[in-house]
Amino acid sequence: MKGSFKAIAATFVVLGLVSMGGCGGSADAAKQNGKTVIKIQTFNNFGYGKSTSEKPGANLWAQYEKEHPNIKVEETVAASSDDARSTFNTAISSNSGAYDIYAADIAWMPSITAMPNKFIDLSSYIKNNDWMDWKVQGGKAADGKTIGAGNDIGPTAVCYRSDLFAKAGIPTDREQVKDLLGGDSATWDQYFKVGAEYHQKTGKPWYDAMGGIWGAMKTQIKESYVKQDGTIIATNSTIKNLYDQLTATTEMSAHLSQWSDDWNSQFKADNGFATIMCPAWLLNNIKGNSGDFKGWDIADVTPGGGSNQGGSWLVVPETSKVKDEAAKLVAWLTAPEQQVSTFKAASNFPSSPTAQKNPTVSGKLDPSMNNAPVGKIFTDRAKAVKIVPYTGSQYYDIDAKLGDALGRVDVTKEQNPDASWKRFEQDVKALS
Amino acid sequence: MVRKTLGSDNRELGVETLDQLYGKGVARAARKKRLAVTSEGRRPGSGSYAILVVALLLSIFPLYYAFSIASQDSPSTQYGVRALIPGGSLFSNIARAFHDIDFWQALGGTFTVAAIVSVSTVFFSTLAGYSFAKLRFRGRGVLLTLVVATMTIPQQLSVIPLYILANKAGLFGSIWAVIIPGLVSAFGVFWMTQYLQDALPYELIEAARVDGATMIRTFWSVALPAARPAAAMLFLFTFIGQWTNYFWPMLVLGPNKNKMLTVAAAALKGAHFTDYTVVMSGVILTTLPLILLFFFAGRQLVSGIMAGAVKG
Amino acid sequence: MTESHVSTHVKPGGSSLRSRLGILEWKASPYLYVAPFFILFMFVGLVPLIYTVWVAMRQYNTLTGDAGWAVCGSVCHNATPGWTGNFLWVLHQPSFYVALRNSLSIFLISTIPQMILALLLAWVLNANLKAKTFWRMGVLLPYVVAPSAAGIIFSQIFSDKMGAINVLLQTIGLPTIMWHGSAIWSHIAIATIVNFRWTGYNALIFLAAMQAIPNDVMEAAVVDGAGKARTFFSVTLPLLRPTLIFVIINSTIGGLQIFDEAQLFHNGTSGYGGPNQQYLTISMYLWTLGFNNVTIGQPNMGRAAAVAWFLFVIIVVIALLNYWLTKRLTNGSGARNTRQTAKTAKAVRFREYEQAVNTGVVARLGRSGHDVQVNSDGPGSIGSLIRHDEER
Repeated sequence: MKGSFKAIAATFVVLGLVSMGGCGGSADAAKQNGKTVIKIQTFNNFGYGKSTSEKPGANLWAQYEKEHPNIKVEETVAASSDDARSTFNTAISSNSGAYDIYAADIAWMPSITAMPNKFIDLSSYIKNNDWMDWKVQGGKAADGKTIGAGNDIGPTAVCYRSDLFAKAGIPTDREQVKDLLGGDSATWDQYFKVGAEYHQKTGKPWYDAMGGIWGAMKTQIKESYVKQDGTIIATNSTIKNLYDQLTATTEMSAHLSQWSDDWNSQFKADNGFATIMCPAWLLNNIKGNSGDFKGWDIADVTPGGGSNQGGSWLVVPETSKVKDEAAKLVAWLTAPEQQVSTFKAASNFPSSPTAQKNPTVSGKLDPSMNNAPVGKIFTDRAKAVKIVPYTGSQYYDIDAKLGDALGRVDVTKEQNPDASWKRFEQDVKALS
Repeated sequence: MVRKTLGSDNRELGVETLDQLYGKGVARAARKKRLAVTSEGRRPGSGSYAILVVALLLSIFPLYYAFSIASQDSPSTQYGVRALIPGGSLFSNIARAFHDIDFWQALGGTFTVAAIVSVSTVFFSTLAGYSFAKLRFRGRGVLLTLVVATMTIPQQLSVIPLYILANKAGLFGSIWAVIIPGLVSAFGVFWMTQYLQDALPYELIEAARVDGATMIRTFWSVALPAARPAAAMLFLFTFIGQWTNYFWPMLVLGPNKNKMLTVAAAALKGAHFTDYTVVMSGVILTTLPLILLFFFAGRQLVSGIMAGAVKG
Repeated sequence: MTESHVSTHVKPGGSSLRSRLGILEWKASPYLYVAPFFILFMFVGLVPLIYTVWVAMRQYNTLTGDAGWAVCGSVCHNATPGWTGNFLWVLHQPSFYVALRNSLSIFLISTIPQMILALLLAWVLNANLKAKTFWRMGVLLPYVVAPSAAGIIFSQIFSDKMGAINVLLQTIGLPTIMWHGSAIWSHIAIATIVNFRWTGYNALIFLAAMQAIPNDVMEAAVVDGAGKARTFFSVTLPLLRPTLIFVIINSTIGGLQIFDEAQLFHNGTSGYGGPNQQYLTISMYLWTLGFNNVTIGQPNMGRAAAVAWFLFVIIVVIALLNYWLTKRLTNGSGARNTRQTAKTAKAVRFREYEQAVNTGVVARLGRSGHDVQVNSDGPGSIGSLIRHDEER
């Protein structure tokens, strides 16, 4: 024990020196070298930053800083939208000026528009921006203030593995696939019918996860879980029928849990799933998970009618010390030109009709999707979106419970559809 | 009635414990046995060594696996048994993680938290432990019971209010929100009290007092040096505990995940969901400093745990 | 050692002020030394604790703050605000019971094999080994791996499709295991992560306790003809009782709070705990409730605080149960005369008190020898004066 104290002390001195050696010490001031710093939190990949192999981007910060030499933008990319949300919640509730701009997922908007006083009115900054009508409405508070600037949207198509289709003897041409699935009047019935045939022929899974299918299904109902007057109708027949239809297709599923490592690993597996519901931003996942593998293609069709999945807004909190500069940046980021750039770089589909008409968007071909005209396809898919679901009140809490219900049937196979539905009914009751 | 110090021989402690627990006879027997310098224990057979080798392999395997994944050449989410054979890209992968988690900042933050918390815990624990062990005052029993009682309170119980309070204090995202709740530890006080009760003879205090030392001077020149071995242990354990802490920093660092290593490494999992070489590199960067520490102070850790065990 | 009731008499006169100051210093110092701890503890321990009680009774939302007394709502058909609202709400949640089941299951699966393995390792380490320190350090190595880091590493080893173990099983023709999908297997996986870190640590604790057992006792058992196993179960184990209680209570407190391992074992970025909440632990439930699902109008913080209280109660109950159980199971060492022990302890306390007085006050005041005279118990003597208000 005698030498111990010295040995320990010496180790700590070394550790300390090593760790202090690299301490640059950056001050969290709004000004840095005379520049105004704007801090923004995003998640997943918004395509604003520098391009990397995993996260393609349009390098917009460099462009903005060049045009505005007195501005410095610091982007923090949260690991997941859950993560981003908990930071957002805390920062907003404690009035801490952690960030000047937040990227907000569609799921957060009900809470945000319910607290209009916490965010600045962007109306005067966004005069030159145009977004699809329902996107504009989604960013408005009850009092008519525009607090969310429309960023991307998630029009949904069907992505498919042409290599697996070929092996199964199904046509692989994207026009033929579109027709096979029912073209412009595609229904879920037709999608599952083709799936059943595919599964019978090959024994391989048709889709990745029930959760993925449900993600599209639920956006095709105006009032799904909650009515606009606040009544909860989640256990009504509309949802139940869809649930029954979906859970009857258990054998077609790859039984994966979306976003898990297992799910990621199956994008290029030989016995992987053949199709996946494909909101525009999912192309990033397909690319990231496929690596060098080239087998994915995309068809201009959405079973059950158009569907918008996800999409984001940008908001500026009242606590920001650089509100004016932040709002200007938000207006710039959500302007048609920049929406075009981010779609070009990172597949985040523009919410601006002007941007959608831009030849760079409408003419975009995606080499990782077998050179599919993704620009045109997603523009068509966006036009097909006729329904904007009401997502107020406990919509997302209930949705999470339904996701669990599907998971019990699909992923863990612990319950049959009926037992799982009963549990869902209890869960919904327990929520309130 | 001079008592042996704990540091000199771990097993000597046992005599005191045995005395209290099993009576004089056992204690006397133990003492007698220890006087005679004889060979102790059974002779281990090859079975014993086999068990130890297996245990050692199980200790090392997960670390090896992490290293091996971190060294793979192609990005993937799952490697299976492929990763049992290391690849050649260890340094380039580590370099990517190094950059992504802003390693120097994370290391500096973790070190600052661990060092401040450990120093503060050790100092306040020794001070209070000395008072509880060697001084007598009204309310001592009640206060000591209070200390012991608070040791069982789970961290989670105070997470919610600490979170609310830290936010109200404007500490959200700051490493001070991690440091402040850790400044004192009931376990530390209990540990130092137990140790000083045995390790610090009254004679030493008396001698200092006879020399005219004030109370605080007595503490400084007599109690503190006597407490050094246990203080070093407490420091070491607090340091490792803070270094490996995850739940609370994750909650309260919020946007500034790169301020501490564990949280930064875990955040890599979301940021590089398609490339586990980077995630594992992050894990290695988090663990490596402690493994380094382990090589220098592992022996002390072992004796610290063993000393603490008998005190219970 | 001086056992006599020495006390001092301070002569009236010029030096009495100094004496009084000396006594004052002696009496105040203990409080001053424990004060920093208790003051700091009040702010970081006590205040939050009391605040939890308050929050648990309130309709407290992260975004909108405190909105009055908690309301349980339609789950318990009770819309009247009251302090029990959140507690009742939690008790009406199926998820809470599932989380409780998971925590208990993971706790049992981690604690029981861990104790057995640790005892085995300790027994092996207790032999007269070559390179003792090397082996001891070897089993302790996992202790420096953060639980979160271990969680990430093991999430690779336990992946469902391509994890190391499943690939191995496939290679040798066995069916793969649903590490995440199945409740029991996910518990085993998480328990393994816990055991990885703590088995060696606990083995060292047991080792120390085994070494404290005098050889004579063991030898006596051997002479009596007890075999190795018999000796272990009827001599070693009972003697390890206090250590066992200590270790088991510690792992109860830790085991029921498991979070890091389970959170990072989860693959993916949402839906923590699995779709059927197979591995949703109480701590994760608290976290999800309090920090992940924040719906305006719902007291997410209040409900999470209520869960924290339930967790605390459960830990205390189980720790007590463990204490009782361990005592029963290892009760082979013969009854101890508790009254005798108490008496001895009291005598020791008294002796130490006397020592403290002597060495603390008397020594200093008496060092010059002329202004303080040692005297047997007289009225107004410092010793009796101090003793008067100490030690009830």
